[in-house]
Amino acid sequence: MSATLIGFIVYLAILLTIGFATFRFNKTLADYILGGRKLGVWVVTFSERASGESAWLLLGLPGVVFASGLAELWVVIGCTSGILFSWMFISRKLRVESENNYALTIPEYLENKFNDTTHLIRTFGTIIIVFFFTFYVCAQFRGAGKVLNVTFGISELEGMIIGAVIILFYTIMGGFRAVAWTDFIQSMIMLFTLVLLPLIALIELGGWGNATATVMTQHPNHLSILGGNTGLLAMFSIISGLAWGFGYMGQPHLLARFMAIKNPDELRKGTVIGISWAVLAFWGAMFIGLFGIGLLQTGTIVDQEKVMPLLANQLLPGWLAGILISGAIAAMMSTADSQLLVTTSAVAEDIYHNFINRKATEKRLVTVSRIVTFIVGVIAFFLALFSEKLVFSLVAFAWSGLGAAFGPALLLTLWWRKTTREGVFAGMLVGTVVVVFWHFTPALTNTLYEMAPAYILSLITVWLVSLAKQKEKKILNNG
Amino acid sequence: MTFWTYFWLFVPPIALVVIGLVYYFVTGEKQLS
Repeated sequence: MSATLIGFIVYLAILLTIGFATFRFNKTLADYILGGRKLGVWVVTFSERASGESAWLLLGLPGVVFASGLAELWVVIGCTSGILFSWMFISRKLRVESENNYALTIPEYLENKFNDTTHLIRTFGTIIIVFFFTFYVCAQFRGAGKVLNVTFGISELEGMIIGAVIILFYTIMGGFRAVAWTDFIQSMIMLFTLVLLPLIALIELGGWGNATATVMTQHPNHLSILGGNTGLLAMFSIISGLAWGFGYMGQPHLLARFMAIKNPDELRKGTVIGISWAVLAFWGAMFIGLFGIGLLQTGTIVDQEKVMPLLANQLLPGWLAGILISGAIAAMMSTADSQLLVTTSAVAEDIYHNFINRKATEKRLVTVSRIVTFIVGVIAFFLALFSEKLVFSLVAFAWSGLGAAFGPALLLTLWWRKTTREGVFAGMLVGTVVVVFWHFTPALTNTLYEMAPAYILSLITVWLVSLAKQKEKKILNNG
Repeated sequence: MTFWTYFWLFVPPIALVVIGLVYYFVTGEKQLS
């Protein structure tokens, strides 16, 4: 048995042990969904970072940089700015407000905040979560297939099955607490991978000067931050990249982390830890792709998203490559488990508890949650079987859908007192419709990432509809 | 590589961490209503 395989099996055994160990803590739905709001700042921050960055960061981003060069820098700047903004302006306020409004999920928070007796916001929010997260989890399973294929030579299908079974097992057993603790470990492995691999690649290339010279001889445009574009095209590519950052404030699986911390004030410390992690990880991922151009034979790579594992295998001894490649599996698992849990919470709390069985006992709710986790996981797995798309593109779609639907609505609900129920619902609707329409119109999506127009139109809609509704109320009151 | 490539490659990461630190020290411990 190879050293890589032994390292990987030990790592998986630790994850399964955490699932068993945390099984007994889940007595209520709040335990299963939010760990009873009792987690510390390091676990919350590392868990938020690990859930936020998936197979996309470890495989997708190095892949696009490998294929298009430094033009992808704008995605990196956009994402890290979005992370900082979300920690500074969303985390603490959401943690406090969600508890004051007795909410365990984002749709529930919005409903309670606006006393929405029609349940429109909550139902629509749940549909958005289930729809987009199924694609997102599907992307993670595909990532698992690719990594295990490169590492152990098994087929991508077998890789997907192994990844899916392990994630489903410990998520169903341990709920949020298991997910947060496994995320904590996975987050450290991801960071280790993203810092160490580019450094070793840089040394192998003989330093910065040699590295850039090698890239320059192969692809001169890959060292241009505009990718050789000029004028409008260059501007659209910058906006598309930066727009990725809008997504962070609308991702329910990340917002759930903010809501789970024991002491809201510790989220200030989390901001510094979170942005430091993000900067190291994102710039590291970008340099993996860039140095990969110099070290791998670009013509022979069939799948650009296998750059990271191929580079690790080429540069490092087997046991170390095994640990680093576990980083990609870690990224994939930590995101998929959190998303499964948020989808579960949406169905169990927002639909089952709210509409089907209002008198359900806590024990029954936890059982229903476990069944829902299993069903959603299986659906995402079958979708992954038939999807030919790249991890990068599947994530781009789900990311913009969630970001544009929830981001503007949540931002204004937290920071603008005049926001109304109607404004929030209209904004969620516009954000979702624009993303789906834009994404499936090739002429549009090839020019500009759907996040930019969808987020801005959704923000304007929440604002305008809220203003109109306020005006209407004033006239009614005065009349 | 041009000056602006170096600028955009290395200034934003430093700036983001600095903003995070400034936020930490400026906000201080207080309860949000």
